[in-house]
Amino acid sequence: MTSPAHLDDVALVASAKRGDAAAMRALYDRHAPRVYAVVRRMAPEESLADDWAQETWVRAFRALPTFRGDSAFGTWVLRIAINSALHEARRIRRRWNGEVSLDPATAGVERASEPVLRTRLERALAELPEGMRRILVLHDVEGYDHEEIATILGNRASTCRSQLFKARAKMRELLGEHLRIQQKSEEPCPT
Amino acid sequence: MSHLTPESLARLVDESPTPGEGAHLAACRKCRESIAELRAQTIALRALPPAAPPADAWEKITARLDADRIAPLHSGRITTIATRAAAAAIVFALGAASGAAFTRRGDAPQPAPSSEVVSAGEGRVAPISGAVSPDLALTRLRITEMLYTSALLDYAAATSPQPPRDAVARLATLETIVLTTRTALERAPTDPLINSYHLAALAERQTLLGQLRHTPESKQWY
Repeated sequence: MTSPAHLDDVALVASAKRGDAAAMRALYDRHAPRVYAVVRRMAPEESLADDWAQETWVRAFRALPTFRGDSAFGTWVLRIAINSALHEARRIRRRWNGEVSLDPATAGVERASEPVLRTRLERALAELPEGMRRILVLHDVEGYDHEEIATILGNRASTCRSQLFKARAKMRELLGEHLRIQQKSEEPCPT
Repeated sequence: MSHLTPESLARLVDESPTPGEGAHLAACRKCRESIAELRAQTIALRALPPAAPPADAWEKITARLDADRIAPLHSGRITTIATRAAAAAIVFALGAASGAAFTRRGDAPQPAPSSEVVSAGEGRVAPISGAVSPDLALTRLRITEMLYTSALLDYAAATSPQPPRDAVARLATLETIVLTTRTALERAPTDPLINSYHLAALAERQTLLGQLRHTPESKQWY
C-alpha cells in the first residue's frame, strides 16, 4: 500500500475529502512549514502566529469539501493563511484602539543570541505596513513568483509587482544605515 | 536629471534597466550603490531562517477538528460532538415516538410547520401537551439551539455587506441538523414534525452547497 507521504496533493486532497486522517496529516506535514513561515512574519508575536497558523488549518480542513482544485492546494491554503492573518491583525488593531505593537522588543522577535542582521531585518519587516509586508514576505523571503502571489492574493500579477517594488523601497528606508554600502566620496548625479 | 525613483531602483534588483535607466546608471554611482544595497537586502531576506511550527500544533488542530466532527482523526475514539449528536438523535427519536403515540391516542394531528419558516431561522419546536420528560425537553432544547444558531448565521449574512464569512460554520450546523433528524426518522419515519425539519435542512444545505460551488475559490470567505 502506498504511504500517503508519497502521494501527490491531488490524491491526498481526494482522500482527505473522504475523511482519511492520514491524508490530512500528510497534507499538513507537507505545507505547514511554509504556511507557518508566512504567518509568523505577519504576526506581531510568536504566540499569535501559533494561533493563526492553527486557525488556518482548521479553516482549511473545514472548507476542504468546497475546494475544487482551481489552484494548487498549497496556494489555496496559503491564501487562507494570509486572509486569516490579515483578519486577525485587523481585529487586534481594533481591540487595541488602533495601536498594534510591532515593537520587536515586545513582540519577541529580538533575541540576544541571534545575529544582528537578522534582528534588524525582522524588526524592519514588522514595521512595514501590512500590505507591503505580505508581498515582501511572499516574494523576497519565501520565494514565490508574481504569478503565484497573484493567485494567492487574488490580485493581478502587475499589481503585485508594483507593490513589491514599493515594499522593497520602504524596507530599505526602514533598514537605513544597516545595509548601507560604504561610499568613498559623494558623487554628484549626472545632469 | 534626477536619481532613479526608489521603486525603479527596487525593480532593477531583478529586472533589466531600460536604455534610459542604463545610461543613468552608467554615470551615477549613487544609484548603482542603491541597487547593490537593495540586492543585499533581498539576499538577506531570502536567507532568513525558516520559522518552524510548534511541535504540538497538529495535536491542537486535530482536537479542534474532532470537536467540529470534521473527521475522526483519533482512531478508536468516537468524537464528543458525534456522541452528543447521536445521543440527542436517539432521545429525539424516542421523544418523537412517544409524542406520536400521544397523537394516535386521540389528539388531533398537528399540521407540519412550514419548511420556509424553518429555513428562515424562525422555526420553533411545537409545544407538547401533557408531561414532558427531561430527555424530551433536552432534545427539544438542542433542536431549538440549532435553529437559533442557524438564525444567527442568517442574520449575520443578511446584515453584512461582505459575502457570508461563516458559510462553512453554517454548513456544519446544517449537517448536524440533517444528521439528527435523519437518525430520528429511522425511528419515527412518519412523524410530520421531524420530516419537515429534515426536508427544510436538506433544502437549505443544498442551496448553501450550490452557492459555495458557484463562488470562485479566489472570492470565497477564507
